Amino acid sequence: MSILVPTCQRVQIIAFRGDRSLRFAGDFQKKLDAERHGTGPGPTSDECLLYAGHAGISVDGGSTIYGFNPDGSGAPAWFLFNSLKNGDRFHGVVRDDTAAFQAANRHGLLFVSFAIILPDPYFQDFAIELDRERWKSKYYYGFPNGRGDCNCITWLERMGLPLVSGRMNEFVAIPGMSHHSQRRFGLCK
Amino acid sequence: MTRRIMSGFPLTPLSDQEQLGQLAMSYREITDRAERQKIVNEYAQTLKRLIDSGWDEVPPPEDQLPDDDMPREFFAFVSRHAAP
Repeated sequence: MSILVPTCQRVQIIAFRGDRSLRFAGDFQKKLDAERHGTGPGPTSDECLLYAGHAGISVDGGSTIYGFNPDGSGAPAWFLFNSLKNGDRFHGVVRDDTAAFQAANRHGLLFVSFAIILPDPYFQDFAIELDRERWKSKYYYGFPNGRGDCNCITWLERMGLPLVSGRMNEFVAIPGMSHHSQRRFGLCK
Repeated sequence: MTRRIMSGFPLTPLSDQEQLGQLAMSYREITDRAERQKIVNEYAQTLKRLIDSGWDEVPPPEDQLPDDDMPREFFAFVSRHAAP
């Protein structure tokens, strides 16, 4: 009896740590201040991601990278950052962030990238969910322990993507696992 | 049942950088002003230690407090390195 083995499909996770060098952070903070006090333009959306860092997914080999973002609906960047630091949440929106990742590459930021291989039926379920999220996300964006459901990293988990390999040594070696003994995802009391 | 909880594997102390993240998470967890102020004070001490040690980075946004509670020293530290 032959067993029909489904085709493998690949979801690529791509992430970069933000540029938090003093020079970049100094310039970024200056733009936030200018925006806040009406003395000049604030940072661009790409600059915000270059500063904060970002994580996204690609299902076409990296040509298009989608990421989960807060929908500020035109709110100035300083207000958005300040609110998130305070624990506030914003509707989440899944955008084509390919340009931001390209900008991060040009900026010389270091990337982390790995593939999650899924059997085709699981992948199709994932693809449907991704389409739904691109149309309208059901999640609120927030910083860790804020009132949102997830940020760009934990959205990947909301999408059902396994981020650890399953090796116990890898799992218990995640530094935050022991340092942050409590983490909340979503508004509750 | 008593459990022995690992404090890191391998055992590692919480670095000052990690401490900033932990404090920022705790800050967002509560709304009581007095409790938040305690966190703000500890955050300022931790950040000062980092700056005094020659730290050449800033914490990621999710490890920062809102502007009004971020130590003034942070803005002075950062603005010294901005382009003129």
